[in-house]
Formats: sequence, C-alpha cells, structure tokens
Amino acid sequence: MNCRRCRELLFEFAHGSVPQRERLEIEEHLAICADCRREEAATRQSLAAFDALVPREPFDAERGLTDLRKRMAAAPSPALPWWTRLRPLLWPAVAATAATVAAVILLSSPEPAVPTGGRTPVAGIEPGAGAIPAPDAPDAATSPGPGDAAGPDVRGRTALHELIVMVEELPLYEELELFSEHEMLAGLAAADDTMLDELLEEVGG
Amino acid sequence: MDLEEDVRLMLAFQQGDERAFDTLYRRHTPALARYFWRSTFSRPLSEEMVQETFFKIHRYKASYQPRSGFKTYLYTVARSILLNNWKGVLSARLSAEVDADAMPAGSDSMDEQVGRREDLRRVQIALGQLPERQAQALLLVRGEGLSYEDAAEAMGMSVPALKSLLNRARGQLAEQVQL
Repeated sequence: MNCRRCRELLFEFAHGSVPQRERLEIEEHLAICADCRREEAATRQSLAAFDALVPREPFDAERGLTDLRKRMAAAPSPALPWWTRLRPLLWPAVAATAATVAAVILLSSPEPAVPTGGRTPVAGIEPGAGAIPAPDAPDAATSPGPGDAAGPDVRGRTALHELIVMVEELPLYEELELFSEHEMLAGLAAADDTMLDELLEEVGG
Repeated sequence: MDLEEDVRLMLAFQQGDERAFDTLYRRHTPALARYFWRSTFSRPLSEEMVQETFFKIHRYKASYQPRSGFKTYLYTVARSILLNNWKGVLSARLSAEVDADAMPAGSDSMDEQVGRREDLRRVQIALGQLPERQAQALLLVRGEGLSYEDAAEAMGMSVPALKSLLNRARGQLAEQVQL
C-alpha cells in the first residue's frame, strides 16, 4: 500500500469500519511510514475531540415535547401541497428553467471565448478549473459592474452553483413532499459559498 | 436502539397512534439536538430546529415510507431544515463563542486537560469552516452513527462519494490539530 491509498482510507481506519484485509495493509504501511503515522495520530486526535464536542446541557425532551404539542395544537391543518398534483411536470419545468438561466448567464458573461481544448466553457466554469479567477485576471480587472465588488464572473459561477444544487436536491424534496418550492429556493439561494469549489470539482469530474 | 422498532413506531403513528410519536420524539431528540448543535454551535437555534424537524414529521407523516429506516428519514428531514435556514446557520456560527464544554476525564493532568481543550477549540473552528457537505457527512456518520449507506441516502449521494467527503473532512480536522 502506498501513502496516497493509506490516507484515502484513514477515516475508515480510525472509525473502525475498514475491511479486515485493508486494515492489515494499512497497519503494515504505518509501521514503515512516519508521515502516515503522524497523519493517523492527528486523525485519531481530531476525531476524539470531535466526539467530545457536545452542547453544555442535554436537550430537555419532556419540555420540548410539551412545547411541540402546544405548537401543533395552534397550527392550522396542513393543506395538500399543490405541487403534488404537478409532480409529473415539476422536473421538466425545473430542467427547462435551469437551462434558460444557464444560457442567460453564458450569454451575459464578459469572459472572452477562449479555446479550451474541445470542451465548452459554461458560464465561466471550466470543469476542473478550480477556484474563482484571481482578481488580477484581465477580465476581472476591467469588467465588474459599478458597485459590484464580486464581479459578473463570480456572480455567474455562484448562480450556476445554485442551479446545480437545486437540481441535485430536487428529487429529495419531490419524494418527501415536505417543503414548498419557495422554501426550497430560499434555502438553496442562501447556500454557503464554500460549497462552490466542491460542487465545481464534482461537476468537473 | 432497535431500528425496526422505530419503523414500527412510525407506522403506528401514521395510523394515528400519538404515543408512538411521543416515543420517537423522546428517543431521538437528544441525538438530534447534538447534531444541530454541532452544525450551528447555537443552543437556541439547534433546539428550534429539533422542534421544526419533529413538527414536519408530525405534520407530513404520510410522506414516510418504510423502505427507509426511520433514522435515515429523520436526518434527511433535519438536513433539509438546515439548508432551509442556512443564512441563520452561518450567522449563528459566526457569532458563536468557542464553547467546547466536554472536559477530559478527571484523572488527566492539567497539561493534558489544557491540550485536549485546545483540540476541542480547534476542531470546533475547523468544523464550522468545513464545506457543508463534508461537515454533514462527518456529523451523520461519526456524530450520529449512521451507516455509510444510510448517510449516503440521507444526503442523496453514492457511498463512494460520501467516503470521499468524509476523508476530506478528516484531513481538514487532522490538519487543525497538527498546527
């Protein structure tokens, strides 16, 4: 086993869920690799700290249940969600919306068309390109709109990122029939920007 | 905890047995509160989200299907509530004080206690800075003991993708304690 494979399995190893054969291979590797031994020790140390990270006081279930009963008694009966009748139409509608918005972003992007080795750039996102372009890139330096420090390229990438999340999440919501479309969009629009790189990485394969 | 029993209770609740709901509530809210607290580092917000989760489960009980375990269903709903309140979650994290409360065992020396408390502080900071999906993977698998399969289902992804997220989260946390 090499270092890379060893580190890929370190969570499972420390969590106690790695298969027996691989566990033995990891142990053999750790016996001869000081760097991986340090990484494994740091993993155990950080997971032990994670396990110990708990709220100061336990949740009071009895009080919570009483409060919840009061809330439920005061709440009106749920209406049948309107989208349950539209479920067969929901997915195509969202897909069409996503395609339209992506096209608008693409057309409005100030980024010049740059040959990309056969792959088509989408809204400034080149699969595997990594983080948002540096502020000193020529287009970023010249094209941001007035009062918009982030710049259109960043906004375009963020908008596309939100669309990716929305499409990824849709089956979950559709299946559960728990939330309104408004709630879903509001939540996703507020999604953490730190998800961007991770999503782009996944989209880029 | 008997997982099959949870499913039976949820099915009984779907048939109108409110006591079954109460049992599920008492059984799962302590862990759910811990899950939300580790996601927000805010006790008021985490308790509010616990209530919202069970409010949704009660209100939309017909949406549960026994092909999924109850815990998978519970944390699917919980994660959706986190996403729906993401601005509040980020705001709570930013204003949260590092509140590592779990002290090491009493037999540890003072130096060891200080060292472990520092680990807690660093891990809390690192957890708050993890990308959402990495943090959720860690919270569900390590924090709440979901299997890889159940956590992957709750997060709508494959098991290999989940394991990849877990290992990236592990790397971030390990890096913090090595600083």
